[in-house]
Amino acid sequence: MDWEKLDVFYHLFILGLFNVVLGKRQGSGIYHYWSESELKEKLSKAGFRIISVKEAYTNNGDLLVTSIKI
Amino acid sequence: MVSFWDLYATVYDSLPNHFQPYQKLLEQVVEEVSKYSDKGIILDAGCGTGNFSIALAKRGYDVVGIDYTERMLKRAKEKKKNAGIKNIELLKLDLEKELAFPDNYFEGIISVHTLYTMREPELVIKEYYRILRPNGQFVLSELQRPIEIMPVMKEAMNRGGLGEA
Repeated sequence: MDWEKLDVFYHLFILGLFNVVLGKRQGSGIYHYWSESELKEKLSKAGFRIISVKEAYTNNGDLLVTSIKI
Repeated sequence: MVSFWDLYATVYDSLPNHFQPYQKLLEQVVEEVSKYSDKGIILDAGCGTGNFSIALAKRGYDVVGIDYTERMLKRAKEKKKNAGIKNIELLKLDLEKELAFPDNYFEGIISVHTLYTMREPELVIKEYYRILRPNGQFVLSELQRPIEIMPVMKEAMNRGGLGEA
């Protein structure tokens, strides 16, 4: 038995379960996710100038946005 | 009372240790920060267990990491100590309240997977604007759709030797 592999499997599996809970919270509106236009709008309204927007993280599920305070 | 985030803190470091997309995101955020500034004080807003704070501190930035979850911060402090890093200050602060920093204080702010949990994210962004110096950069990584569970599970299976090689 490779205990190190088992340990990694255990932790990632538990992490996956936590993300199921997070997903449910998002789905029920407790948390929210953002479209590119929504993020840009919020940042621009606050006074930031958008420099770049990239997709990132697992299956490009994130928006990585760099902006500058004007 | 132990919160969801306190419980999450117990397994959170499986992400930087074993989940490749997270490791890549970590590199991308540090790269974004270093494009616009090579020194100064960076705020890691919602620092969790300190992964991004530590990566930035290792690149020579002075970092202030803030989070409201006790166990996340405890873990961050342990990791900071174990790594022998001095240039990180870790504080328990509520991002949804006025932050105890002067105007124009930070060279840059990063926020990774944090704003989506805020009740009034517009007010949080407004506060970031206040404490960031003019021309300072704000690097934000947020979810654009629900987290996909399968990639995490598949990686767990593969790492556990239960999936494809």
